[in-house]
Amino acid sequence: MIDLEELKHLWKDNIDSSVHRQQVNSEEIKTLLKAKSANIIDRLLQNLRIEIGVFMICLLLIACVPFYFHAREVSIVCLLVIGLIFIPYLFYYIKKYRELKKFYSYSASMKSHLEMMIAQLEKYLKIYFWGSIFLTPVTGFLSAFAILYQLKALGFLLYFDTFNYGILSYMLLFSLLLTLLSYPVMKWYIRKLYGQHLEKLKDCLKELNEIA
Amino acid sequence: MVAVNTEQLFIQTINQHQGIIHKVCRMYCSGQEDHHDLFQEIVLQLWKAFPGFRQESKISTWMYRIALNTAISGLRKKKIQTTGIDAIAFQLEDRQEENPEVGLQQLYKAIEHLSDVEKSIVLLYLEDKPYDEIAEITGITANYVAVKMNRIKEKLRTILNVRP
Repeated sequence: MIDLEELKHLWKDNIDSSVHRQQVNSEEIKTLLKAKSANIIDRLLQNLRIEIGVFMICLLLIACVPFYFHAREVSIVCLLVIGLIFIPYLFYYIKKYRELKKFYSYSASMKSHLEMMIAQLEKYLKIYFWGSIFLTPVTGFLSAFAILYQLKALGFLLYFDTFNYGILSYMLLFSLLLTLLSYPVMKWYIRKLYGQHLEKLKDCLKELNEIA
Repeated sequence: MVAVNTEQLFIQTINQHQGIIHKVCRMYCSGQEDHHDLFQEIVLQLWKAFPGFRQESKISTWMYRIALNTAISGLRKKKIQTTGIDAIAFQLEDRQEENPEVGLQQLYKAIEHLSDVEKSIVLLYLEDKPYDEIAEITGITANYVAVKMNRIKEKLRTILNVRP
């Protein structure tokens, strides 16, 4: 039968030699400082940067359309779409970025750190979820409108009136359908990526708070 | 110049106290690769927090806080394969007298059956930290630490005393 004090002695007698074998020197520490963090917050930041990059590329592609078609109407619609999509996304990305920058609280006590991490991660995921849900119909509607308008301006869809109420209603319906579809998809996606981690943090905090 | 000095001071601090990081890594990782990843992550988090260290607490307390917080919440961990409880008890009792290193390995295997929070408290206990310091690191009261420690001891006793 092993006594816990014996375990402590076993630990003390052996841990130093075990640690000594894994010692790193100053140069190795210096190299580590330049390494990329695998921390969840840094990964969220990295994902956000990729998201912003892809978004900017899409906007640039839209901005290139008028140069290709040389039509005044097309240029106006493109600029309008860029402006209308860019502004809400800009606020969305700034909000997300600011939230992520608030995360660093590793020097707090474990309990405070877990409380802060949970609160901030929940807030961030809420912004992520509702931001995506809100922006889906806006993007869907504007994209559908821009495509139809440009096709008409270029001589296609001759018997088609873009500003017709019926057409606008269909586009609105299409956007709402897109939103309805994106709701479960986004819920699943966010839960898969970060939900389990959040649950784990909540379990740790719950355990830390448990008395009996 | 200031940045270089800060970096030198940091490297010097890590050199002196890297045992703390290795012990935390050993507690939370079973494989060498995981150990290396967590070690790197803890060093990075310490480096980020280093300019904010005001020496209000001991450097070791500060390091334990960051290292344990990183181990618990920073990384999404892979599922670790744990040995069966019966096997641990059998191996620990029979082999630790032959080779203490083997006994230590079995202690780690027993620790794998603890939760992440329990691991942090047991590490601080094994390191002979007083309950006040454990309370400072974990953020719960010293009395509460004592209650938790008793429960962990019971759990470890159950794990280590079960016979095949």
